[in-house]
Amino acid sequence: MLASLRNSVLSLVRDKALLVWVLAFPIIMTCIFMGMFSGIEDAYTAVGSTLGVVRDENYTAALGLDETIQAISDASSDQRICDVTYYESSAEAKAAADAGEVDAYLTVDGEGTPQLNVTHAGIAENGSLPTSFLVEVLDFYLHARNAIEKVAVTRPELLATGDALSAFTGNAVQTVRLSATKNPPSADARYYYALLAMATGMGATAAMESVRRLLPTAGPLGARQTLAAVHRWRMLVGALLGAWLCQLACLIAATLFMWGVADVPFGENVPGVVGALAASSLMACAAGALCGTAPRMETGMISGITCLLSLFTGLYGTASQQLADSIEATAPALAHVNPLWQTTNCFYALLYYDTPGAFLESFAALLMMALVFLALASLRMRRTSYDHL
Amino acid sequence: MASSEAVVRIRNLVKRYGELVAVDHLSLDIAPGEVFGLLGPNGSGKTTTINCILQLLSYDHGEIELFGQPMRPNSYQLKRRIGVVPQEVAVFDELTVRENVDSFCALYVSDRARRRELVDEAIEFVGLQKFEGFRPKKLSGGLLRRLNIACGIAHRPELIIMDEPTVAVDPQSRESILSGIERLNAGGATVIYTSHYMEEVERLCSRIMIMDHGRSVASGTADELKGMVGTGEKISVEVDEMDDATLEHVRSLPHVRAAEMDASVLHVQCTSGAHNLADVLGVLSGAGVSYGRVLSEPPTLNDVFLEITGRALRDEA
Amino acid sequence: MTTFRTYLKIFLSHRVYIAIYLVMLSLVGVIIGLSTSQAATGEFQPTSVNVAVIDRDGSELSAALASHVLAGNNQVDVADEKRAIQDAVARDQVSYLLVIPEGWGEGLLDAARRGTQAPNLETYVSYYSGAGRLVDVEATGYADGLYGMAATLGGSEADVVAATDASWEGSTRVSMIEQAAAPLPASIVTAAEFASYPIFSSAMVCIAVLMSSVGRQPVRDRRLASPEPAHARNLALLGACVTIALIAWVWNFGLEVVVFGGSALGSSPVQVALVGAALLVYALVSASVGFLAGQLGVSENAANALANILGMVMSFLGGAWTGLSLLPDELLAVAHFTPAYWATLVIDGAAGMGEVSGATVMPLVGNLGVCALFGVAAVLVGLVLGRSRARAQVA
Repeated sequence: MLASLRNSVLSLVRDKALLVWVLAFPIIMTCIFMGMFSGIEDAYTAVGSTLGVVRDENYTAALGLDETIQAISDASSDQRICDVTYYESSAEAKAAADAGEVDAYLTVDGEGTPQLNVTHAGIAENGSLPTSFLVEVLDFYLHARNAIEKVAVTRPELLATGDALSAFTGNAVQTVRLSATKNPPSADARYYYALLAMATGMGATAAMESVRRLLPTAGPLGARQTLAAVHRWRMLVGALLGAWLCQLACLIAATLFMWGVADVPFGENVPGVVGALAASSLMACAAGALCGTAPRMETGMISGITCLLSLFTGLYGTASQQLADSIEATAPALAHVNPLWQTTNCFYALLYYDTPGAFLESFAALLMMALVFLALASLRMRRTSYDHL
Repeated sequence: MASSEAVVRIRNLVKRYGELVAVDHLSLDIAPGEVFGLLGPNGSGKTTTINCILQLLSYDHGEIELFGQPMRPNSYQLKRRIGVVPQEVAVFDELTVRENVDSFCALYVSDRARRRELVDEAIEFVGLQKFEGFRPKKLSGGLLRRLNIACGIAHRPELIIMDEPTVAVDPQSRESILSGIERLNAGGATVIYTSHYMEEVERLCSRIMIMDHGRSVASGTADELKGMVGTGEKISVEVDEMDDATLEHVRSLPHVRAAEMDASVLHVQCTSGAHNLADVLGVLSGAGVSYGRVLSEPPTLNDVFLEITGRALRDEA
Repeated sequence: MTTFRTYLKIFLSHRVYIAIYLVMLSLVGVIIGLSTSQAATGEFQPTSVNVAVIDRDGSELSAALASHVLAGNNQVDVADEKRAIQDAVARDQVSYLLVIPEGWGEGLLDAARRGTQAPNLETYVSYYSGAGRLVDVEATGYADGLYGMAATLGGSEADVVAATDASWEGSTRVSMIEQAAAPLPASIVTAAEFASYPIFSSAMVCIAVLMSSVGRQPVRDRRLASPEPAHARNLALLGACVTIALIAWVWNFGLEVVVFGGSALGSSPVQVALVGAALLVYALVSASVGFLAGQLGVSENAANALANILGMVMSFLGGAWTGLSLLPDELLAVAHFTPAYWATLVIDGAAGMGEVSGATVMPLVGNLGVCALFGVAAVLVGLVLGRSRARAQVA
């Protein structure tokens, strides 16, 4: 068994396919993600847009509007949500919008009501959030002005002293952000976890190759090994163990890289993280062993299936995350049979929950899947050998 | 033989891989209609020479002419007249037997109707009619070799170069391949044939060259080669009893190189001489040794080969 | 011609790769496109955020705040328990969870009378996301209104709420700028941008596999010994590469047009054509990268890995998956060196094109040209490397 293990480890390391998928792939993607998400933590960069402002009589007549616009475009402030360009007429602003120089432009009508004119291009490129922000800020301006005017009718003295203005715009009510979870939620963790899950899935190819080499049907090498004076199950267990150890080592290295270089949060429970990696890679190896018994299976198929399953862990960007979320909300069972989902969920649970329940559920689910795959694989392996002999 | 008649004419071919001289000033001529055997141990430069002829390899020095014209990488008119059966099976795994033969034939013959005939003939020639629709992975070793040949000869080349076409095939397939080559030759094709199987070469080849270390070490017909090395027949005589003096006497005969007693059989290795058997039997009769079965084997090409290239193991460089 | 047909036969025999990379991954793109909200593009649809409110106060003020925050957003019910809050936040079920603490309404009225800060509201956000921030602005704005009314006009809780709600009527008018051209539906844009991945990986893997099959040493030798001229061989290979790219393109783009593009084809044919052209150029570039990999003699397994990894890297860097606006400047600079970036620019540009005119279309055509240059470069490098490799083998 030890010899078979050693054999399997040596050939996997020398073959490099495993190293590429389970080590190089996550490390490369981690570097890409690091670059991509370096700006995402700051909520305001995500809502930045370019705003044109038509500075005509109506605009200057609107009480306090220019101050509001300046406050949200002040480059030195963390309240900044847009860059402002001023235009003399709405025709000029429209031309600029058509030319794609601004995402939207602001006009004010005779009654002082602001109107936001939005380009399709801006929405197509950045989504509706930046514009929603502008709308929200302008709405607040409008509502506060309404309120002050209302106050001025009954208590004009408050307007004169400025008390009315400060009452409404003094930020008297604040929110404090609490943390429900053990660690603060992180938007990018999701990508990294999905990436680890994909690397795990790709690792199944290694187990498949290791097992296939031992099958008598796979060619002369398999036949030669079948004739060896060692119990078949010992060789298979050795080969699988070797594949599992290799994959686990690669995954741990990749995780260390994510944690050390990309500052990906994994929580404090180190044994838990290693356990999650071990369970996930065991599941992947078992799945690979099962695939190895299917004669028509190719490595390309495993990578294809993994690509598909990764869609439902939200690896492929925002759109796929929304899809994954809606599937989880409407058909949780469907989401949960995805072994890669269970892998990502292990990491989530470790990061966010202070009770081990959710982690243990996913951990157990992974082990169950591994057992099922292994059982099916061993059934099929017995069959193949009898077929052959 | 005038050089203009030669199908293949090589002069002073030199091919080096760094320090290693793979082909060392090789010259040879092959006449039309010949089956030319190229022999030599592994690594002696046979395949390198063939690859040079085909311009798959560039060479450092020398001239190669085919059909009287210098061979160049873009001598397409010359290439059209050549068929190649490489040592390794060179077919597309993704295509069926018929598609394979057709796709290689198409590199030579563009007319489709004509090609269909040629492909039919080639498949029939190697006897793969029943396997036309099979992919190579489903074929046994012998069938695969036959497909490999069909792909090389479908376009009816005038010069066929076969690099060990019978490696790892069963006797039936080998017989079919060999007789096929004889038929191709009878049809007028010139053949260059390399092999490790001496009996094949002896049977097929009108002329043989033995290569070693990139050099031609001997060439001629099989008989000429046998004569060249001075190896004569091997004589085995069953004797009842023989004393050492008689054995010494046998050894001292002029054409006897070695004589050994093995149990009750006397083995005598001779150099080529006119009446070796009579001489040996004469000594035995003279000494009063009574003998039973007498066996005299003429020298084989194998003996010649080992004699010329030595018995040390190859592939050790 | 026969060589070309041979190549196609070989390509078609690798059905697994076609099934997985071409068919399955492109269906993933369609699924993603279908899940994209099918917003009517004529009007502005403000971002709707998943919001939950836990009202521990139960006062009129808190109820008013809660209903204001929930209006216009997606209400998610979250129980007032730790595990439920954890679940909601950790799984991103809500982007913004507002907790109105007990006694908040009282405290606000008190503070307004005395002119001090009102008690804080508590929030849980899933990420520090723009969406959560947006609701925060909404919530504090309205709460500031309540405070202001209480501080100025005063009165009972009901009075304050009524006065505030009266002022909080009306809103900024938002209109989409009338444009000569009808914009493309978001679904086809999302699907087309995702398609960069299946197109790249399918074209590249199929070509690399084809070339590794054709380039196996014995087969290669046999072909080199044949009278087939080198240019004919290269032409056939190029033809096969282009054909594979075309197949990848026709399948992906055709699927998108059929599923999402029915109406857009009539209302904005130029934009659809630009999206199609972007994908076509990208498919050709992918094919040339496959050609390069084939010339480098990459094995089937390596081609498979490269197709996936490169495909994902390109789609991410090109902004096809997360949007170019999210990329930080440094990475955006790097992205300029990927063909996917230029293709995405064209798709985004076509999606929101104000009017169809030379001035708006030409820059996009220029971007297409830049994208195509990557393909040309890959082919040239492939040819040069292929030649020097051939020479290295010969020497």
